[in-house]
Amino acid sequence: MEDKDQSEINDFFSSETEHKTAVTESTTEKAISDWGSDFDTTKASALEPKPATQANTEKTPESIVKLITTKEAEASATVTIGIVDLMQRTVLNIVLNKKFEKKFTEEQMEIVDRVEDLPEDKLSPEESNLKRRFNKSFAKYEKTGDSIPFTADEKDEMREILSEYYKVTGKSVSPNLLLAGAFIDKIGKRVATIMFD
Amino acid sequence: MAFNKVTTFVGGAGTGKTTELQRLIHLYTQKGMKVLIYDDFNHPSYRHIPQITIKQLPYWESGVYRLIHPDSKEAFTAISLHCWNTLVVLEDCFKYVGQKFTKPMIKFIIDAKQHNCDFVFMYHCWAWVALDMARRCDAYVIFKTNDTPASRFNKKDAPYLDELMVEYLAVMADKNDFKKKLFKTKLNG
Repeated sequence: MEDKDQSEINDFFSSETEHKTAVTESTTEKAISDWGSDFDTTKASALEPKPATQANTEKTPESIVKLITTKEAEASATVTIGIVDLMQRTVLNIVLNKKFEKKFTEEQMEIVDRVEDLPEDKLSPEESNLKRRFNKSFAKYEKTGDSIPFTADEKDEMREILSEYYKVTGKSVSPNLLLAGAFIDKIGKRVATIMFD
Repeated sequence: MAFNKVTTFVGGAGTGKTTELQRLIHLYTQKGMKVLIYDDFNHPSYRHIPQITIKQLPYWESGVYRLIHPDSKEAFTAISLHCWNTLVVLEDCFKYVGQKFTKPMIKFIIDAKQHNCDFVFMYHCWAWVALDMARRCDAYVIFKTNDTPASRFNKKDAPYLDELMVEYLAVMADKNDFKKKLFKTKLNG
């Protein structure tokens, strides 16, 4: 009985349920070219997936990196710099404001507001002293505030680095994000100017 | 050999599944066929067989190899792309196939016909056999198990259930612990 079961299994795996030769990748290619002029054989061949056994199918790391144009890379870099600049302007201005506000109490600020337009000879020594201290601090605050945004040189330098980065990695900011980024950059700068300047 | 047969081996531990498979591998290699054993871990029974990686699959032309790859989806994709005229053995496949076939798995079996591959799925018990397997399987090699085909399938899944149960009971009634029986589903000719 055991032998019968064994031979049954053997027969099953050895039987040829369909009479056909072993499939090879080249069979399809031959069949297409045999059809003759009824088909655009060049096109059909080009559409066929390349035989997997060919050595040239292996992807090299270079071929995986998407090639992007210089224009794409530069646009992506500009928008990235714009957004980073906006962020740092917003955040640093808030910090700077808080720092400035801490230097004077509300009472002192009221006095400064009151005596701002008065001539020097009409002020008491305390008021005059406070006004001088305020003006000195404010000048320092303005100077620091002006130095926050990236300078043109810094922007150029960063643009060059970021463009290279985008080219090497094959990554770029998508057109939709470019547009959104450009608007955020422009509008955000105005908002920041109105808020903090 | 290798004419798109999908076979399921169902048997408990120590009932002779691996021994039967090794005999089958010998049968295939004698005829010059390629054999690939897939598992997601380094199975002790097959350590004498050299290993192949999914990157080497496109260049594999003959012989018996085993593929050990922890990500079964990636492995099935690679096998269905690069394996031609091969017996593909999925050792203890419940671990990575589950009870319902995933998309890569279905693609894997459907593409197999065009790639001229035979499949052997190894299961430890009937409860783990995927229902999709009942529909696609050409034959079962039945070994002794703790549960019955009827505990897994109903007639909607497997119209051949009654005949299968008869064969199964015959195997279970046999005194030989390594009793095995081939059951053809007849659905695929």
